[in-house]
Formats: sequence, structure tokens, C-alpha cells
Amino acid sequence: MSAKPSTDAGAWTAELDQLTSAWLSGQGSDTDLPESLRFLLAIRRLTLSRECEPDCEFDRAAAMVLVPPVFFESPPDGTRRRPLLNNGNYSLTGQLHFLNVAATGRSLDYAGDEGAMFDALQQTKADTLPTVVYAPKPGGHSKLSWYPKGIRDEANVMVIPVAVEEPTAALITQAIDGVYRGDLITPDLVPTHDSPWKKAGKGWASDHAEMQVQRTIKLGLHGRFPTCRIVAEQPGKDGRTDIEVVGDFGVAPGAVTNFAVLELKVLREKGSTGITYSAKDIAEHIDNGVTQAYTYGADRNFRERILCCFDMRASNTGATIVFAPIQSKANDLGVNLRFWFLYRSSARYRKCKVAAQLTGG
Amino acid sequence: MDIELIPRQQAVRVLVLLDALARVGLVPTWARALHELAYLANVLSPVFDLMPFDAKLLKRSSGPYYPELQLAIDHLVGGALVDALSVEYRYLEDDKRYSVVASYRLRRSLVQAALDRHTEVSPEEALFMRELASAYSVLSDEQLGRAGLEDARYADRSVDVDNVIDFGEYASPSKNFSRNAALAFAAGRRLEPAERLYLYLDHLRVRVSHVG
Repeated sequence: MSAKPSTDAGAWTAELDQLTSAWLSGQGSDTDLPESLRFLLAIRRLTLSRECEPDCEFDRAAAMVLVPPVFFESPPDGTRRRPLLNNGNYSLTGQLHFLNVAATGRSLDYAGDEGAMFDALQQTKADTLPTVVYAPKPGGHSKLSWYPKGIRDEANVMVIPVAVEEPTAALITQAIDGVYRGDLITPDLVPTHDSPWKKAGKGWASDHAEMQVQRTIKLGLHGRFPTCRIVAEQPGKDGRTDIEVVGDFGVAPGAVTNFAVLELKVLREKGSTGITYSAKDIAEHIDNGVTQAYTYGADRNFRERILCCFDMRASNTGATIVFAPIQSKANDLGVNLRFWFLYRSSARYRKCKVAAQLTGG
Repeated sequence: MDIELIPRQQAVRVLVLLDALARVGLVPTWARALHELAYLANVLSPVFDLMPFDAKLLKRSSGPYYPELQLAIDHLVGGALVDALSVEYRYLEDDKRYSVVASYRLRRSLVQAALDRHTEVSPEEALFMRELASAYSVLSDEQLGRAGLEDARYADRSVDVDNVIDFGEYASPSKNFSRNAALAFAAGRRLEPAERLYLYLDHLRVRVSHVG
């Protein structure tokens, strides 16, 4: 942002201390995300903040529906506006909530059990709209069921816990594993414009491979750690970080935790025009990654420094061999090394999987 | 700005404001809330690195009001692109005269194409308006249309009622106290522009609550 703050806040000048020490909720921090993910995050934060309140109800289910603007222009009878729904002070259960991506909108009570709630969704013509069903259970066991195409498509559902975990290197790796299996392992999983490959069959990586991998990983981390700020390309005197995981939502200004800094490296054998990268180039690339992860982590006080390598070369030699030249340096510098191999086609993936099984590898 | 283009731009602005409000369930929209959101969009647009549509207005005791914007609304109602609902004939203390007051709703089937085109041409402005409206929706029904009075720039005592508040037309943009306040939130932390809107409107809500 080019604008520089001035201390003259007019009628609010006497409150500047309050402004500078404001607690962050995460609202508005994720406008770059796809609508459905943004909505899911908003709902997860909303249910989390409600469950932190001592008077939280765990009695009945609730449905949160992502509605188009036209829905509010002729809302179902009986709906009422709930301006402060997001702050966790108000009951969520026993209601249908018709909301926008930032989880603001209108609510409607329903009578009866979960079946009645599903009936009410049908009656309000919301059964084909993206919906999260909140099933509350005390002790941190509440679940959210995400129906991206509405409850009418009942087979298309994903269940997510409401409770969140602190991002450790192990959990971050787990989250990236999920993204890798879902979006990166073969080129068939993503549309061409989002692919890290230029010509997968020939092993040519896209010029934007790092950016595509970074975006995919960032989305995965957002979904896994909803109470953290997941940011890319943060500048500093030491350079720009690839991804940072920072815990600054819902905590006192002095209690911000820099959980992890991720340095992402794509290991290319061939570039977007077929030009070949030498083994020496690639080894240097990985070594630079260790240096960057350490420097960013040390300078910016991150708990975890992780070098994530995405290998797009022809052969999968495995993490041990790829990291052998820098393992000792990484150990000394406290940099976690992580490795994922991107197959050029599903056929190649299948062939490698079978070969690994037969050789016990 | 080209003077001949202003009425058309005002009309587009009304449609964009009404759309943003509809997206957060504030529909039909009371005229006062519409003018208030137009004002907040002007003072807070620099947070998104956007230029204010209008960087001055006459300070009224009842809160922000733009005669040109109202004219655009009236033309849109006349052109059947916007519905006027709950129409009343009411005495306006500020103007010392009776006037028609109403709440408004888009005729979406007639304006959606224009709104889609606006989003295509000005994606940043569209995002800003939607996030601002979303942050604005934290206000209760009673606070809507009254919150502007507590805004950092509007409430500043350096300008009396019936005088012009200038936050960038002729005065320096540093006189935009609302923008200054929005940029002061969470010092030393990197915030997204939209986060500042939510923080600003939440603080405004608290101030209005204390006024009662």
C-alpha cells in the first residue's frame, strides 16, 4: 500500500492507542481466496468463536447457506438480520443462516430436529446452494459438513472438524501431503492454466511453476489452519518469503506467533522451452533454498523453517538422495527438509507405483 | 472529471452501492444508509489505493447526504431500474422543507449486466465496495444511517455543521482523518486493506453504541 499513516485521526485521535492495539479477527484477510474456501473459513471462525463462549449451545444443528445477492432481495418469510453473528456472542444452533462469503446476512429459526432443518432448507429453496451443516458437540468434537452443491447433492459432502490445531512442521507437512495428493501429484488433477507443467509429456515445467505450486499450497494451508494468517511473498531486508504461517487472529497484539516460514523450490529438469538444467544448477538451487529458509526464519523469528522441494525431473530418486548434499547443513541450521515428486502423467505414476510395490521400495 | 459524465457515473455508483448492500442482506436500503455508505466509500477508498469519488461534502447535523447522488437515485427510480419502497413525505430539519424519503432496491434483472460489466472494468472498486458493505453490515438497524455522525472525519470538530468537509478536493489528503484512522489499526502488523475496513467499521459501531 502506498498510503502512509498519519497520526491525525480527527475525532478518533484520543482513541489512537485502541486502534493501534486492536485485536484481529481475520475478517477481510482472505479476499484473494476462492469464494467457497473463503466462506468455509468464515464459518469455521464463526463456529470457533461461538464455542469459546461459556454460554455456547450444543443442542441442535444449524445450517449456513452461501446465498447469491438476489436471495436477499426476496428473502424467505421470518428471516431477520443478525449484524453481530460473527462475534460469537449469539446463538447459532436451531437456525438456518443465509450468508454471503464473509458470513453476514439473515437467519431463520427452524422447529424440530435435523430432519426438520433439511426440510426447512428445501422449503426456503436453499437446497441447491452451497451449505455448511454445523453439528455441535461439546469437548471440541463439533463437525462441519460441507455440501458445495447444496444438500440435494447429499453424496457430495466433506466433513471438517471445527477444532483447530497449532501449525507444527509435522501438521504443515500433512496439509501439503493432502494438497499434493489432491492437486499436484499428476498433471491430470488440475486444469492447464493452473498447471505447473508447460508440456507435461515432455517434462517441460511452466515458467510459472513456482507460482502455481505456491498458490496451491497456500490454499491448502488456509483450509487446514483457519485461525492463522497464511501470506505469500512478504518482503524484508533479507528477500521475499514464499509462504508464512502466522498466528495473529484472536490474540493480544503482543502474543502474535510466527509459526513457520516455507521456502518452496521447484526442481526442473527442463524449462518451458525445453532448455535443460544441469544437476549442478539444481543442487545449487536446493542449497540456496536451505540458506533462504534459515535466513528468513532467523531474521523474522519463525518457530519452524521448512524447505519444500517439488521435484519435476524424470526420475524419482527420493528425498534421501536429493537432500544428501545439504542434509548436514540443514540439520545444523535447523531447517526441515521436505520432498514431493510430481509425476509427468498418471500412466507414469501408476508404473512407478507398481514398480515400487514389486521392489519393496 | 468530465462534467457531462458525472450524472452517468453517479448512476453507476448508485447501482454499485445498492448491489453491495444487497449482497450483505441490507435490502431494501433506506436512503440514509445509502448516503452514509457513499460517504464511507469516499473517505475509506484510499485504504484500497482508490481515489474518492467525491472528496468533499456539506456537513449536516443529520449525517452524510449527497444531493447529486439523490438525483441519480431519483432518475434510476424514474427509469424503472431501481424500486422505491416505503415512500414517505417527511419534514427534513436540515433542509427546512418537506421531502420524499424512501428505501430502495435494484431491479436486478435489468441492471445485472451493467453490474457485471462494472466488476469486469473496475475489479478493485467492486471488491472494495463489497468488502466495505460487508463491514458496514455489522451495524444494527438502529445504527444504520446514524453511524456517519461518529466517523473520524465527519465528527471532527474542526468543521461546523453547514460548512464543507474537505478531505482531498482542495485540502491535503492528510486531512482525511478516516483514512488516517483506518491505517493506524494494528500498528506494525501487515494487514490486508479489507481487514482495515472491518476494523474501522467495528470501531465505528462501538462509538455509535456508546452514543446510544
